[in-house]
This record gives sequence, C-alpha cells and structure tokens, in this order.
Amino acid sequence: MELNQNNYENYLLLYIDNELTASERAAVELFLASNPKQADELKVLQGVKINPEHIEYTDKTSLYRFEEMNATLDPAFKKSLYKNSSNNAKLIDIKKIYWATGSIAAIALGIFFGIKTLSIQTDILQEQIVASIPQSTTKLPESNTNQTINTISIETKSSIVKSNIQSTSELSNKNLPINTSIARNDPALIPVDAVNVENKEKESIIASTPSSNTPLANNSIIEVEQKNEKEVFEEINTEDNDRIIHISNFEVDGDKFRGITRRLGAILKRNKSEKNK
Amino acid sequence: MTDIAYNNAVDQYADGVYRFIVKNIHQEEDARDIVQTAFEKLWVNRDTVDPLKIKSYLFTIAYHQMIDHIRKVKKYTTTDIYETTTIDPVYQPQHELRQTILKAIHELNPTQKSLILLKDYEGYNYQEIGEIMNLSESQVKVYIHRARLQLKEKLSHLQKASA
Repeated sequence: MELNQNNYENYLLLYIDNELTASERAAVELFLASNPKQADELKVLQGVKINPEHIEYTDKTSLYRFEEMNATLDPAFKKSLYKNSSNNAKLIDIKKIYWATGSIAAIALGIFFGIKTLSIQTDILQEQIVASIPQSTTKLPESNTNQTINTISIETKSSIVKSNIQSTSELSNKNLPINTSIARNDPALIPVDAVNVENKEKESIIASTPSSNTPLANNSIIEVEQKNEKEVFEEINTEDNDRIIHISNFEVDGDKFRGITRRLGAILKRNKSEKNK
Repeated sequence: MTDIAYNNAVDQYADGVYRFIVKNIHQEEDARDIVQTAFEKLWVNRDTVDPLKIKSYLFTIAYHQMIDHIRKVKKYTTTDIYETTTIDPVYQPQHELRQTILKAIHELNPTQKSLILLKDYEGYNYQEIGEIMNLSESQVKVYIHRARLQLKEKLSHLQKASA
C-alpha cells in the first residue's frame, strides 16, 4: 500500500470508518505526519462523523415474552405455584383465576338484577292489591276507617317513594282542588280530579272516597295525603340514600362496596403486572 | 432461542433498532411499530435465527420494514420528505455544529442515511452493513464515501458562509 496525493482521500475515509488493518493505519498516520494539509482534511472528515446518542425504546415491556420463563424460575417459588405436590401437579393458570373471578362476578350481578326485577314486580303487585283495598274498606265500621286508611298509607309508601319528582309535584298540586272539593262536600267534583292524577295509588285512594262520604273519612284521606307528601320529600332530600345499594332486602353501604371493588381491582392489576415482569 | 435469550435481546437491541429507525424516518410512532414487527419476527423465527446474529437479524428486518414504510409514505405524500434541500447558513449558528450535521444527514437519501447511521451509531463494518441492507461490500464502501464527501461539502459550505 502506498499513499499519494491521488489516492489519500480514499484511505482517509477508510481510516475514519475503522476499515483499515493496523499496518494500513500506521501507513496513513505516517503520511499525515509529513502532509499537514491532508491532516487538516482528516479532521474535517472526522467532524462529519456523528457521535452516537442514547435514545431509549420506552415500551420494552410490550416486547417481552414469557413462554418458557417458568421453567427457569427459582424452584422454591415454582413449588409455591403448584396446586398439589403430587406427580400430576399442574401450574396454577392465572388466566383460569381471571375467568373464575369474572364468572363469579357475572353470576353475582345476574342474581342482583334478577332480585331487583322481582322486587319491582312485587311492588307492582302491591300497588294492584292496594288499589283493590279501598273498596273493601268502605264496608268497615266508621270507627275503623281511620286505621284502615293508615294501613293503606303504609303500603303505598314504598311505591310513592319510587315515583319521580315531577309526578310528586303534580301530586302536590292536585291536592288543593281535591281537598277543597272534599271540604265543600261536593262528591261530584272528586272523581274528575281523580282521573287527572297520574299516580295510581293516589287514584285508588281517591276512587274510594265517593263511597265513604262521612266527614271522618274525608279528614282521614286528607291526613293520608299529607303523610304521603311528607314521606316523598323526606326520601328525596336524604343524601345518605345515594350511598346505599339495595341488594334484595339488604341495604349495603355504597362506599364500602366501592372500596371492596377497588381493592379487588388493585389485586388483579398487581397480579397482571407481576405476570408481565 | 429461549424466551430468556429473546428477552435479553430486547434489553440489548431494542434501543439501537429504535434509534436507527427513528433517526431515519423521524416518526416515533411508526418507528415503534417497526421495532415491534422486528421483534415479533424474531420471536416467530427464534428457532432458526443464529444466536450470534440476532442483532443483525433485527436490523435487517427493521431496515426492510422501514423501506416498505417509506414507499407507502411516498405514495400518499406529494413532496418527498427526503428531497435534498439546501441548508440556509444564515440561521445556523456555529455552535450548533452537531445539529447541522444531523440535519445534513437527514437530507441524504434513505440508503445513504441508513449507511451512515449503521456505521456511526452501531459500528457495523462494511460487510455487516451489506448483509443488513442487501448490498455488496464494495457498494457499501462507495455509497458511504460518497455520503461522507457530500456531508463534508455541506459543512465546508456552511463554514465559509458563516465566516
């Protein structure tokens, strides 16, 4: 190898790319020692090279694979993963645990909504029963009327609570003409108002009023309406009810229930991240 | 190749492959996709890949994926993102020499850029670069030398302009 003014550039390029042997590198350095202009040119070419910079691929966890990793796990740890110590022991499959948890949750939800639907149907049945009660109460003695209608108010309470605010406001608005009509002892007006009332319980109670025209009965109806109205406002304005979750006949504290679900979620997430590791 | 060896390869080479691609195409999300594909292929072919050539296998797959990506991008863009443009020397301060070089490299054609990056960043020799890019050793040598001289011209032009 002999460097001269015609071929030196090629050797300089090979020099900066580390593509020369030790003897060739020595020959280039010897040439540059006696040719300062070419030595400056080498510096320029070295300036063209870029120094590596560190750029990290941040999502390495998405690239990892763990197919055979369990084969090399610590024996003590591996043993703890086995269900049985017998020969046919199998590794606990985390996916199976997830599926089991998921199916249990699905069954629980199914039961919850099933019971909820049944309880709603029971309420509807109660409403129908209540609607039929007033007719029978008209046959009772005068002294018992007050007590009977009070019983009706207890039975209808739950269904009235479920009615929305709009219907209750309509209910309260309708109270005035009904009460005034009763006060005037004008039974002809009462059924007309009763038809306009949307609430079924209200309708059923009012429907019973024409048959019992006694002042005592009218007074007791007014009391019933006042009680019902009072109950409605109490239920709606109580903020604590928002936190209560009804499961069948049980009332569960919503905050505690959410806390349990959050912890369960955290445990599942931790298992997943451990699996990924 | 076991999954342990594969995961070691992820630790050792994911950064380098990603850097090589992102420096070429300057699109992080696309670069991630290319890296993901390269490692997926390594996993699928783990039994046939030579354990001593895992790195070059990854770079080869990533490089060809990148070429496909560039072709697709070219189809949908009216201007060539790698079209050579002149650097305006007025707005390039002297102390930002490194940025200037990087910009000058970015303006090289895709083949030259890949050659320079594989050489300077990864330290591959001409033969290995040829294997990755499916070129002969002499082609690699000629293309790299041409790219270096091109960069030198641009830099000397800038230095003269700023002086």
